[in-house]
Amino acid sequence: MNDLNEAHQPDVDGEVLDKIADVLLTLSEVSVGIYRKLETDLPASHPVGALFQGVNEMIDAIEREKTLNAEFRRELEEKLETIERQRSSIRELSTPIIEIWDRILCLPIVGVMDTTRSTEMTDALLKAVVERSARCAIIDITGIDVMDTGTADHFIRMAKSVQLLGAECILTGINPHIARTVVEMGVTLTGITTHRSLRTALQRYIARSAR
Amino acid sequence: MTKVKDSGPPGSERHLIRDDLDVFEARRAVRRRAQELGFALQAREELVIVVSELGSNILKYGIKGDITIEVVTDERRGVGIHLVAHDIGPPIENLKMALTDGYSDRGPIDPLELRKRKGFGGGLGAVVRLTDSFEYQPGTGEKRLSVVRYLRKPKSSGVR
Repeated sequence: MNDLNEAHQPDVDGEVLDKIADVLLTLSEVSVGIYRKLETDLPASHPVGALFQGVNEMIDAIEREKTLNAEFRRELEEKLETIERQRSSIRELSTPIIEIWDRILCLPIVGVMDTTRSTEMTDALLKAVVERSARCAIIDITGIDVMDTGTADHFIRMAKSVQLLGAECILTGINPHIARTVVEMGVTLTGITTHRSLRTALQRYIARSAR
Repeated sequence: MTKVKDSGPPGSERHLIRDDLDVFEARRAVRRRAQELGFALQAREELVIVVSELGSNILKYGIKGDITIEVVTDERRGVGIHLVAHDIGPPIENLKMALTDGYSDRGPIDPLELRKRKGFGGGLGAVVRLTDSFEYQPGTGEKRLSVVRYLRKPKSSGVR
């Protein structure tokens, strides 16, 4: 039995065992995010020296990777945030112009009507009236809760421009608050037909055209 | 890239205005605050228009700026929302003209010209009409527009 024991006893220097313990300790620290490098007096030509150098290089590489990773994650989060903000904003922006019947345009508006939007909308509508040779433009403002008098004024001018272009302009969905705003302005909506709903406006217009 | 910084007294939100998206964010924020305070739908949406006009002016003329939203209480008027639009752009040369609709910095706007612009210069007119107090505070290399809208209308006939 003694012979066996002796045969299986590893013939290793105690100091080398210490060094291996260092390496194992360092590697376990790396696994919890601590990047402490190994120190030794041994040259790289010495096997243990070479091992230490190898381990240190590996630690450098891992640390670099981790930093890069964190940067990528940050960038990704920023991008996702932007997408979310854009999605919310798209809802506020869209003003579709739909040709719902032969040369009848419909402009359903939802949301906030400020000066920038009303100008952009006017441009888009007048352009569409010309390009599609529209005979009627129905502007539905059911989705607008309030309008400033300045904006309402701009709106009315837009409706008159549509008429000047030879098309009829119908406003639908005016709520009581906006009606008061327009009356407050003291302006008359001559030549601009208004209806309570888009549906009524369409029915009347199509019926009239059929005659 | 922080959206909102609580840099003022508690309850005040400062929104950096760098692009359209920031303006939409500020609009949503004022709508939320107004709802918390109990403003009616119309009043809430009017405040949104005010923020929208202030915000687009910052983008158009302000170079860089921000909008602060906070709740204030006046002993006579009661509770209200205070908005401060701050930017580092040039001062408003002729305030009276800027507040008159259909005007820009160069005099009455030709209707054809109006259509080429992104706004028709009526923004500040709306801001004044839709708020209860308006104050222009010029500074060195910066300016502030400070407006307040109170929850309750004055007891008089209400025509401003």
